[in-house]
Amino acid sequence: MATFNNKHWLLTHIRNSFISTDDTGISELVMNSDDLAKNLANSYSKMKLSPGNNAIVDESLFYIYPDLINEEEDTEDLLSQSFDINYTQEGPFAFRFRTNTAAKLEKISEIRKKQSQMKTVKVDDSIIKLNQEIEDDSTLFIRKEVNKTINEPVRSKLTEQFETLPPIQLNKFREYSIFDGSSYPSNESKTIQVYITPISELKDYPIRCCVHSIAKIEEFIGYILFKCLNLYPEYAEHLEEVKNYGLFISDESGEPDLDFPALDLTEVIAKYQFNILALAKRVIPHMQNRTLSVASDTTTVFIHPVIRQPSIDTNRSLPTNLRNNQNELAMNVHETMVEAPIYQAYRVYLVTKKHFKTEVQLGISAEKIEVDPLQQKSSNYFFRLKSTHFSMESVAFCEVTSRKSSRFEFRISYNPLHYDPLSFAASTSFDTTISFPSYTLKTMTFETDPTTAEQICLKVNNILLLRTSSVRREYLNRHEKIKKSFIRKKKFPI
Amino acid sequence: MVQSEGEPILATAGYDHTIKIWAPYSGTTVKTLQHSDSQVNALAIKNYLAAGGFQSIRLYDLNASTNPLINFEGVSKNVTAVGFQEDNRFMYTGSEDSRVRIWDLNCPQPVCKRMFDCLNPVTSVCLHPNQVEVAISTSIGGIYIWDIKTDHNEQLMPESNCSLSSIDISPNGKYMAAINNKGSTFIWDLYADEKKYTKTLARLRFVSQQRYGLKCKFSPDSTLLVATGGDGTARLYKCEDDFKLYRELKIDKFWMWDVAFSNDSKYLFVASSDGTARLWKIETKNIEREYLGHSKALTAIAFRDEFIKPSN
Repeated sequence: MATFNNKHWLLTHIRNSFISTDDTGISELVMNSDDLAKNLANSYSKMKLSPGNNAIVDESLFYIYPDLINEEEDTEDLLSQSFDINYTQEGPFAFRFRTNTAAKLEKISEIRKKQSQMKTVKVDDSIIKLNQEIEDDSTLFIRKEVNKTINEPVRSKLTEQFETLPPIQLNKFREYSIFDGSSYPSNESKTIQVYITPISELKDYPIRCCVHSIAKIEEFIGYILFKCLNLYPEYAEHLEEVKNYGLFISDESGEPDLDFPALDLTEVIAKYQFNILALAKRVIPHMQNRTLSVASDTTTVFIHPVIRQPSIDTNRSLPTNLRNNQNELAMNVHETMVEAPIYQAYRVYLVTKKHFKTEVQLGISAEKIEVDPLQQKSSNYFFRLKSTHFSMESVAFCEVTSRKSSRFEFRISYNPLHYDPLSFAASTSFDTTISFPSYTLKTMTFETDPTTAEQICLKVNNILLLRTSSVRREYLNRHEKIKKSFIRKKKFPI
Repeated sequence: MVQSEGEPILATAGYDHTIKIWAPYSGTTVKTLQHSDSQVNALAIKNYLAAGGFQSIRLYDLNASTNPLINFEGVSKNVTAVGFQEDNRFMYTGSEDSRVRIWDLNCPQPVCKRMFDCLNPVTSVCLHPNQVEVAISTSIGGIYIWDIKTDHNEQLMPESNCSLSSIDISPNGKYMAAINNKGSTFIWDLYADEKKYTKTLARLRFVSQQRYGLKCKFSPDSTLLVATGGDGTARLYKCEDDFKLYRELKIDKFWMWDVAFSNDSKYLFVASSDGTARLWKIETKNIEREYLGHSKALTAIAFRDEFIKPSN
């Protein structure tokens, strides 16, 4: 009320009331250019400052409360807005960012709430003597006769439970229970809704997992499996080892988004901001991370991803089975290498230039790749496919090119001009051609489910690694050169 | 989910600022209690759960929230021992500020009724089965037997230049045992004099641990004594067989900090610094359960079993 006899304050108040209550915004447009109170204040300060001005200034006209004018920045704020208008309650300004202070106040009120539930007893040694003198302790300290002979045998409930209850199945992921975040304050834990996609009955309802934020993704997966098994012990047989699963970005439907690779196993969960994730089986169990490229450079397939030990503050480490993961991994890779040259046939779709899809049998052995069309429907009558066989010596590369949630596309590229007795050079019109000055590559695109696609690519690349043909070598050389020149161009744009 | 009445309860705590309540048979966590700002040095369960930590004594109601029910303010140093009287009449605490306090639990708020100053940091406190005398061990190796009612006390010094880690009196009142930081275990015979004060008679001294001795405890039926320590073993001795070694329970490299027996003395819970509590069947030396869930070392364990009277 004290400000009501301040003309300047009243002016700004009226002005701001007009601006903030007029939803059409016209008042603001009109008044934006002339802020009467501000102009008066400015002219007053100019008049006061100009040395040659001896005219008597009518102070009452420019009277401004000292507190309002002293601090320049604050003055502007105070003059430009009214205290009576609360921006947080109505109008377009309803949204307000939470400040640190608000968060702090909330924390304090939470602590207060906790304290109100908790009684406090003061430990004060000076009043003990008094207690001792005033009160009669005959009921408090009663001497009991001790029977020195052994009492009749007692049984314990625990022993009875062990004898009578059926043996229980212990949770096989229980070593991960240390990452339970529910006992930590909210800034040290993360709560994430996780969809368990490998179990069809559970994939529609997420499990709420509260995890300690120091946990690595691998440890988090272990904790999810632990929690899942705790809630649904009947699925114990459905769940495999931790390394067979990956955490994928997901939307609210729970469908893992396979366009993105699985979260890096060695990263800390605190790094990610996701509220919803999906647990899914890795496409190829022994491949630790989809982030490893399969085709562009075959050697990367055989780099064993290092699994970091779960970090715990004490010196303890998790049981040895985790430590052995790396050896198992090496064994798995070794087995695929050994099995790679053995002939295997896959049913896949061949994608032609015109986006026709034809079901073919793709046979892969150490010697050659055979593409045999399966029985075709009448719609494709005019587009009859011939069998294509080409030697493994002529294959340059094989890689997954597109990853859609259920269908993966992969390409096999070979040189049809490569001399080989097995090659029939039966190139068909649907092959796309990549031209290099001195050699030509033909590429065939196939489509199939993710697991098969990854398996085929791995198999072909393993074979290519075992037998380094001239086509392959040339491809790799050129690939390197293209890469280098690309980098050079990037570095020197001129 | 709260334990129903009559179910055994296991509580474990240590350096991760939490107390976990377990269903001992299923090995699952029933509840996690907050013990903010401090580690837990000692635990005891009766109707309430008592936890002693750095400058804190807290009482928890197991059926209520995860926050403490009563917080004792103003203790200056570590609280190293907590325990309850048999009928839950009073609670005793011992701390490094060299004082043992007796808290009356029958009042609306616990009131400190008695206090005993040992002049040296208290490492362990044990209530005599007669419920009115308390045995106290201190960090300079001294032992006090204090009569709460009359304030009379006896002093002992079994060995100089060492610290006693733990003291216990057998439930039948026959023996008192103490273990020191050098791994030596001392046994005394107890008897009452004409004024009913407990007197001691040194009986035995033997090395029960190669390294640091941490805890000694008699089984509820007074037939076994367990001694644990820094060499990762819990050694069980037969009392009636002149304390001959009966069983040795061993884990790799970690320290065993605290133990608890089942009521029939057949099972032993051990808390160790690998953050795991284990349940051993003493006779077979089998680990029956492992309680995994703590992220740091465990230093305290408490177990409340239910007696089952023989049917006849």
